[in-house]
Amino acid sequence: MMATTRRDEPWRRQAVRGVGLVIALGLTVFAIGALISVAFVLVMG
Amino acid sequence: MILRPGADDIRLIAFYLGKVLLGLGLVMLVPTVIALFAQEWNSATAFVVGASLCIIVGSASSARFATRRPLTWAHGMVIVALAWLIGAVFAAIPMYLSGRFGDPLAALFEAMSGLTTTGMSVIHDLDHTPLSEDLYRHLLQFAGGQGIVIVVLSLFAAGGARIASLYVSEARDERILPNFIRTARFIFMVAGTFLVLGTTALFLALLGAGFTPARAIYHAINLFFASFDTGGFSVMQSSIIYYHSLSVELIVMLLMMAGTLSFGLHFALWNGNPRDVLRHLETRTLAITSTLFFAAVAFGLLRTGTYDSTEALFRKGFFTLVSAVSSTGHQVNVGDTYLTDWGVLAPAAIVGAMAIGGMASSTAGGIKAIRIGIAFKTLVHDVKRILLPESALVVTTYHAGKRRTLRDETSRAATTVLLLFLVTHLFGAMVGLLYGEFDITQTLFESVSVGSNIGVSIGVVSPEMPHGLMAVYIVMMWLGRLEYVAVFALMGYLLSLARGKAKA
Repeated sequence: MMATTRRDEPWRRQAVRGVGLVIALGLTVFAIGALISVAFVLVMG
Repeated sequence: MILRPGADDIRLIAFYLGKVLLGLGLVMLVPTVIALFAQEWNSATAFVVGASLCIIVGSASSARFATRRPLTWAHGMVIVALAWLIGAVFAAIPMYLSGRFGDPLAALFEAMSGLTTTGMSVIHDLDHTPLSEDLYRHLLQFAGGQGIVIVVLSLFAAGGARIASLYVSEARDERILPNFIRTARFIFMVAGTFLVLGTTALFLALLGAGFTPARAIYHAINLFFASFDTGGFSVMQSSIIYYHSLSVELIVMLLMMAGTLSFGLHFALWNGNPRDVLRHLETRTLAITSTLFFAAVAFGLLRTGTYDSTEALFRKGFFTLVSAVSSTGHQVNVGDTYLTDWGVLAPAAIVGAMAIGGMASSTAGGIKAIRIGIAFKTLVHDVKRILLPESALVVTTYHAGKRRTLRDETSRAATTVLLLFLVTHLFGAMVGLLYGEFDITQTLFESVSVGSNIGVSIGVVSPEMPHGLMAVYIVMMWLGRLEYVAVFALMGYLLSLARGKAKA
């Protein structure tokens, strides 16, 4: 992947955004996993 | 006509291998210091011997064979394949000297498992392993996860263009920044940021779970290395079950997911382009396959009555799936549970998830989601070509950093590696069956786990496992980590040494 770097932006700000988005992505995955768990327990439990 | 490599080629390979050994020796100095500080004299002696050997051989080799000749792709492939093999042999020296392994082969298994981030362990009495030896095992996963050759050569500044071929040979085919040194630095920056944040979060969670500050920091550092580098080694025999903490499990899951995200996608997120991540073929493939696999796990576990609550299903089933997909191998079940309590469908879904593994150009192993996505696109493309009129022009595109057109060579490369993984998994399972101690469920599960560098174990891998099977698993871990190409290039190179025609 070749992308444009934001050379003018401090790396700390990039890191905060990068980690923040990874956490947001992870929480979304947790939510999907929890929803599937609830759905299956309700239907089959 | 195959040309025989000359003395200059061998010299170049020896020069770079020397650099890698030198780097490995420096890695060994970290646990040496810890061993001296903790007064673990036996371990300190083992590390001093190991580090000295690496540094002496590495320095001698890089000084004796010093060259400024540029690397070709063939050199890159051969260096990487040999570096991972020789690196594992040298990394095994302090392990064997520690006396915690039955024989040198077991120590080599552990070293290869660490470097390839597989995470299977054959160590004796893990729960009473000295601090320095635990840290060393986990540091190996960090070095391997980041790509040991790249770690070393970017530190020794071998030159951006010159290490390009090594970067690709280590199964890191995604070029993030135009310069490879800058790419390597970006990878370190991501790992460093997660190291600080992940270790702090784990430290606080472990304090909350009742650990003393000293034990919390020790477990947090090791857990971070094992989770972010998708390695799966553990400080305790019982792996993650030991902590009995939901917050530790959630943080570990987040770190495993961060580790399985390709560095290219980390780059997109750092630059505020989350849409690039969501549109990427690999993200979509992982999202679809993981959802389907988890649905199968949930259905299987509820049908067999193994768990009956949402919390148990999430903490046991979902955690295991994330551990498998990310190729980490952390366990929240003892090995036998998959066999005795999980029925058939749930373990089968875990095997499927392990086979696919994580994303290319990440620390994860397995076939890689991008290859599954490309194989699926190829299938759809071929079906379209059959159904549409012969004069119709069928063009299939996919998103991977940018919109790309599906080409025959991309399809062929993806399906070839996919096939090689499947054949290796079956081969490993067959070899396991030859010993007559395990059934096909056990050998297939373990073979996929080893061949995809995952580390979730059903109980075949143990200090008492047959030596022949151990040797086969060592080769499978090596092949899986380098995704075959570099190893085949090495074989071709050896063949050309024996049967090639001398250069004019």
